[in-house]
Order: sequence, then C-alpha cells, then structure tokens
Amino acid sequence: MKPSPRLFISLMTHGLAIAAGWAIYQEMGPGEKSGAAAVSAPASKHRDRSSKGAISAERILATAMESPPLGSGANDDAATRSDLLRMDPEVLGRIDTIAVPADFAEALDGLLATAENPGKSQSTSITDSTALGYLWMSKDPRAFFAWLDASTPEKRGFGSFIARLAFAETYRREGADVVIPMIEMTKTRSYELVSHLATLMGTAADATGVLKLKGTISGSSWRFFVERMGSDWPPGNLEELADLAVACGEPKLLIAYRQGEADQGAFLAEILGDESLPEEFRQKLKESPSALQSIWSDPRVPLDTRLKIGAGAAELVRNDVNHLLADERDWGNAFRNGQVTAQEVLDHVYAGTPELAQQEPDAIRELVFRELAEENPAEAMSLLADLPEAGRNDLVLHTSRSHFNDVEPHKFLEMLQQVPSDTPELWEGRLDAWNRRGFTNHERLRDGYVEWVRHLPPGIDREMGLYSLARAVDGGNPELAASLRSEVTDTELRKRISLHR
Amino acid sequence: MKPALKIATHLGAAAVGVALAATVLPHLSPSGISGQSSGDAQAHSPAEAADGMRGKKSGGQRGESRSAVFRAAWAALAKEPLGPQARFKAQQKLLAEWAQVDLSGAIDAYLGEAWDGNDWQYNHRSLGQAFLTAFSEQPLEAWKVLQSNKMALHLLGDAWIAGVVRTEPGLVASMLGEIPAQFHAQAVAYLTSGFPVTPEGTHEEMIAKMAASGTPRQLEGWMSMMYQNRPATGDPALLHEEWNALPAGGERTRGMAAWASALREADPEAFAAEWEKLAPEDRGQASRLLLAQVNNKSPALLDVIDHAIEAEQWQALSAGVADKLRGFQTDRKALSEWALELPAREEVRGIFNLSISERLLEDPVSGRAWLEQLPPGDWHRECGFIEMMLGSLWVKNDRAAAQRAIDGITDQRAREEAIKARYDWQLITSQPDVIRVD
Repeated sequence: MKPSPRLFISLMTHGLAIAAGWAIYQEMGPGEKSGAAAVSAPASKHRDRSSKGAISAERILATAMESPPLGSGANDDAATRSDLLRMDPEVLGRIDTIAVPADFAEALDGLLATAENPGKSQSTSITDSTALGYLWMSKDPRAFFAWLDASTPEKRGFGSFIARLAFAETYRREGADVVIPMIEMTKTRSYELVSHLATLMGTAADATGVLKLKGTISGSSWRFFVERMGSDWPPGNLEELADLAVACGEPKLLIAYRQGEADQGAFLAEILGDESLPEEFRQKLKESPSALQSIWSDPRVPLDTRLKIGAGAAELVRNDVNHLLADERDWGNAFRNGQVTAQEVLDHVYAGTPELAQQEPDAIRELVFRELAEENPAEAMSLLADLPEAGRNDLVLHTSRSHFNDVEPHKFLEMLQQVPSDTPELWEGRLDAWNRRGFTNHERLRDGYVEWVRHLPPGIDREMGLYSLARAVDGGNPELAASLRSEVTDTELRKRISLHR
Repeated sequence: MKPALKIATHLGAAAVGVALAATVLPHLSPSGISGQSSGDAQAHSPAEAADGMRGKKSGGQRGESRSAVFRAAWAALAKEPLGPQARFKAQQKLLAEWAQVDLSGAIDAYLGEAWDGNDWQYNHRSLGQAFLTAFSEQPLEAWKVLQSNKMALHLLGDAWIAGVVRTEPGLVASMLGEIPAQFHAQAVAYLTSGFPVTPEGTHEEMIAKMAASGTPRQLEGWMSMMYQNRPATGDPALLHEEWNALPAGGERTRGMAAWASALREADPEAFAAEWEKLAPEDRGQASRLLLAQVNNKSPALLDVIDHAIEAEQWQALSAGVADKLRGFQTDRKALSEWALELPAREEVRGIFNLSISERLLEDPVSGRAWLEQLPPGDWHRECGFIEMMLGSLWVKNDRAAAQRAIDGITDQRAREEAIKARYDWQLITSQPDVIRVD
C-alpha cells in the first residue's frame, strides 16, 4: 500500500534523461535542430515544412514514439482535466486590474455580445469576462449562478467556461468551505461543479475537503463525485486515500483510483485481501459489480480467487483472452502486420493465464481465433488446422456472424472465402452472415459500401452481397434496393426476392 | 518495470528533453526566431501548401519523397512491440505529421489499420482525430481527397467537420448539403449550439448559410436537429401566427420548427387546440416537425403520432419515433389498447412493439390471453407474439416462454421471422445448445 521507493528512483532517472535530452539538443547542429523542432512543434502551417535537415524515417519514428512509453492514458487524462481548470496568467493578472462594474450581469452580457461580434477583439473579451466572472462569483455567487442558469443557449457554452475557471480559482484561493455551498446555488450546473470539484480535490489530495463535502450535497451528486475523485488522486498518497475511503464508507474512491489501468483488478484484489481494512468496508467492495468485473478480468489475479468471487469459466476465458491480447503489446496489430504468427499469439495467451490454459485450452484457442480472424482471416485459420472440416466450417461461419462488426468489408469477405457453400446449411449460414453485415456495413459506410459490393467479382459472394444490401436499404431507399435486386442472378436468391424475403 | 520498457521510457524521456529544448530554446535566441519566420513564409505559399496536400504534382516531388519517408516510418512502427495505447499515440502523431505532407498517403495508411479497434478509447475513429489539423488548415483540398474514396469519406467525415468547424464554420455550413447525412446532426450541433464565439460570426449567420446549401427537406431536418438541442420556449399560438404569415421557404420552415419545439411540453388539450388551427396543406410538414421535437416526457406524444399517421408520414414515423416510447409515463394497458389501432404497416412496427412490450412482460399470462382474443393471422396478433418471444429471450432469458410465444403464432411468415429472431438472439448472446429450427 505504501509508495515504492523505486518510483522515486525511476522519477529521478527519468528527470536526468530529460536533462540529458536538453543537453543533446544544445549540442546539435542547425540541421539536426530543425528536425528536432519538428518533433515538438504542433502540426501547423506555421511550421517550416521545407525542413532543411534531411528527414529520415528513423527520426520520424523516434518522434512519433517519444512520448507513449512515458505516461499512462489515465494520467494524461487527469493532466488534461486538471489543465482545463487553470486560468491563463493573463486572466489572473486581469483579476487584479479590471474595474469592478456596478452591474456584473450587464457588464458580462456586454462582453459576451462583443465576443460574439466578429471583428472585435474576442480574446480580450474572453479574458475580461472570465476575470469578471471570477470577481462576481467571489462577491455574490448566488447572483452569478442565477445569471448562469438563465443564460440563453448561445451563451451557455461560454457561461460554463467562465464558471469552470472561476470555480476552480475560488477553490484554490478560498478552499472547500467557500465553494461547496455553490453546488446547491445552481439549478443547471450542479453536476458540472461536482465534476470540477472531484478533479480539484483529487489532484490536491484534499481529504479534509472531501469529508466536508460528504453529507452537504445530495445523494446522487455524492455518488457522482465518488465515482470520479479517486482517479485524480496522486499516486504517492494511497494510504491517505484508503483511510478516506474507509472514513466515508465509499470503496468507489478506491475503485476509481486505478480506473482504466491494466492492474486495476490485481490492485482491488489486494484491497479485498487486506485485513488491516475493516471487514464491513471490504464486504462493500465485494458487492460492487464494477470492482468484481475488474478483478475477474485481470489475469494476474489467481484463478481460484476469481472463481471464489463468482466468476464463471467462460467469462474468465473471454476476459483473459481480451486482456492478454492487449497487454504490453498489441498482439492483434502485430499479427495483422505479420510480426507474429497466430500460434505465437496463442502461446502468449496460454502463458499469461496458465491455470485457465490447463482447464480450457480449446475455448481459449477458439476465442483467440475469433479475435485474430478479424485482423487476418486466412492466416488465423492455422489455429483451426486440427479441427474436423465440419466443425471448422461451422466455427468460421459462426465467427463471421458473431464477429466482424465494424471490420473492413474485405476482411469479412476473406473470412467467408475460407468455407465452401456447397451444402444447404453452409449456404444458409453464409447468407445469414451477409445479411448481418449488409445492414451494419451500410449503416457505417453508406455509398462506400454500395460501391464496394457492386465491384465484387462475379460469384456467390457478390450475389449474396447485393441481396443482403438490398434488404438493408429497402426501408430508406427503395429505388436503390430495387436496382440492387435487379443485379442478382442466383436462382435461389431470385426466388426469395420474388417471395419478398 | 521490465528492462526493455525501462530503456524505452528513459530513451523517451531523453527525447522529451530534446523536444522541450527544441520548443523553448528557439524562442530565446534571435536565430531561432528568424528561422521560424522564414519557414512561415514558405509554408504560406498556396502552391506549396496545395502540393503538400496532394503530394503528386511536379512541384510535389519533395512532398512525394517525404511521403515515402513517412511510409517507411509507418512500416517500421508496425514492427515495434508496443502496447495498444503507445501504438495508438505514436500512430496518431505520425499520421498528423504525414497528413501535412501527403494527406492521401496518410489516409491510405489509416485505412490499412483495423477499422473497429477493441479498445473503447484507442480505436479507429479516435485515430481519425490525427487529421483534425490537416482538415482545418486545408478544408477544400482535404474534402476532395475524401470524396475520391467514399469509404474514407464515411469513416473520416466527422473528423473533417470537427476540424474545419474550428477555423471555418461558415464553410461547413455552406457545404452541409453535400456532407453525408449521417454527420448532419453533429454539424448542426456545432454550428447552432456550440461555443458562440466563432471566427466567422454568429449562429444566425451559420443558419443562413445552411439554408442556402440544402434542399427544403434537408433544411427541415436541420431545423429539427437545431431545436432538439434547445429548450421548449415561446408561446405556440404566437409562433404559429408568425410562421403562418410567411411565404413558403426556409424562414417559414424554421418558424414552424420553433413552434413544434414550443409544443414539446404541451398537454394534449393545448396541443389539439394548436393542431386544429393548421391548414390541411401544412399538416404533413407540421407532423414531421412535431415528431422530431416530442420526447418521452411529452404529454401529447401519442396525439402527435396519431396525427402523423393521419398525414401518412410513414418515413418520419419509422425514423426513431418508437424509441420515444421508452420511459414514456402512461398506463401500459391503455397504451397497448391504443397500439391495436395502429395501421398494419412495417413503418410503425417499432411503435407497436414498444407500446405492448411492457404489458406482455409484466403479466405474460393475461398478455397472452389478450393477444389470443385477436383473430388468427391478424397483424397485431402475430407481431404481438413475436414481440412476446423477443421479450422472453432478451429480458428474461426464458427459452420455454419464448417457445410458448412461438406456438401462439398462426401465420407461417411470422413464425419464420420469430424462429430467425430466436436464432439471432442465440448467436448474439453466445448461447450454448443453439436451436436452429422449431
């Protein structure tokens, strides 16, 4: 539960690496520097596109890969949320210099009208109105929120923007006691304020503030708060968060702490087994469906622990396979790009969940096949080499119906081409697969899909593609449906068309 | 942390150091500043900018060779053993840079990636955000590239709107008529209820541009979308007077949409009084606009549906109206009796299903008796049993009850449909022991 000293060492060494990078840049020649500048500059037409230094694939790749290994998505998101709650220095400066108007509402409405009016200085209006919003909130928050609640749809977005920054700044300067009562002062923005407060209190590890908040806002607002706040809590203060969660009787504060992280399940399993925490608290955690789901779906948690808390074997197979296919490597993408074979992916999954691999090897193989088939259908077939032909055909048709949603149409076609259609069952299964994809592919790709179907080479797949697409568009575009049907030549499909099926 | 990852993160940290220095130091030295401005001058040349986007013409030789370098980097990236998130972010950065040099090439690479993405966050749609800057900087050239590949247009149309609306919302408004229909709601929301400080002016100006870009029926749809995002305000009687005095056209349609939204919360009596004032020739359009504005909290929801049926607005009735019955507060028995008056048409099938489903689920025995008193072969009876079967499976997971519902069906086609729907349920929910036929 305590922060690891390794974390501090790691932070220090990464800091040194950043400093080394700085030094490297200063030592670079001019050509090299222009390439490095392209690394950091946002893609913009104001950037030097001529790039005097020769640009190489290696450098582009290094640039693209520079930041990903450093941070987790959750931290990035937290940083973004936190940044959105910070005023520009310009606005902060304006707070001290702007003239306080006699009528805040009139002054703000005037500034917003200016901001909407093209040709005027919009950024000045935004700076001034944000500064005024802050001052108004400090002096008379009730009046500020009444103005905000009554704002027209045109001003609503901008009003939220001002309220967000003013609220955050007030929290920073005045503390929780001042901002908590504001939540009940607005009829339309209370959830927005609670959400901001979750980020602010989480980032600041403000346990005292959280305890003050509890009991002062409505039950639904509190639930909304506890589901968010933990994810912004700094990693070094975990024990304090655990104490706070126990004091509030809210395991959700801890559930949110590792939200979206790969090891969330293992973390929660550790909390569940931590006997230093009150039994009642752990029981409450055990009753949370999201916590259980997280524990079930983490292959790092021992199998018997997961089975004991009610997970079924089929569910565990599904969870573990999905988890292991997207762990430290994107295995689906690597397979798609020919970097690993299907067998190598399967071996990786077996190794990642050895207990389950012993118990359910076939179910795991089948599911890995289904996932990989969407990436490279022909290559994925190697996983089914030991199955009898009938079972293999069944599984491929089943997969082409149960999977391939939102997958490239040509991959779906490639999957179907792994099975014959020479029995009534196989033919019906193939048609059913087409009927499913006809609808979803048209929903997403519209005339792009129509064009693709029409350009398929002659054969049963083009026939079924036209037929299924006609069914999909019949309601919304009967003319197109009729035109597609007129291109169908297959005898059985024509018979069905004549029977309106 | 694994050793390989540790090395990678330290290398990454060093690269961040380089990047930080590259960002900060040029601003601190005169040479850095002058280098920046000469780059600006070149990048602002329209010919070069266009060549950069196309990367094909003679002047685009450099663009072409740089594009080849990006292609090589993209291929090399595929070989890196990265996790989904790291891969996604690297791809996004690379595509954003590549799009500045050769948009077509970058889009081709994008299309070569999996179109679904198993992760809710790092998926293909999110990857398309890499093009926002290129789209916002060169909207028309980008539009041409997208139009040359319809799959790309439908996969990236929303990113094009999101990118261009930031810099040239007026362009999005004036091109709305040629933008694929599935993106209209997103565009209308941006243009008419987004952040009010647009570089090009107010929402009113956007609406005027939209009106000039579409057919009357398209404009009607956009006005419906706009008022769906706004609260019901205004006096319906006054609003009616206003639009009724206008000649046919965009302004009248807009006025009628505002009137329809003002009726969203009207009770059935107030609604009936307004409806009675309508000239017969206005009732079709009025009922379409009203269908768009009512929701599951509208007291006159059923009256609006009834009038749309009278006005034979079948297409509008089939487009999402049924979902408004979810959570609609009314007596479920009375609602199901109302549903028996619906015409036997496929377009209102969803409305019929949702009107009877809760009654059937709450008390299957009396629900069954209620359906059985209808004549065999009657559309309402057969569709009712299919709905009963679907509820038994999807809500209650009760195969035996589903079979009993199938047994109640007398029409052969309806029976085939039910069996097919049961098979679909088994497939979608991965049921063991799949039953294919009766």
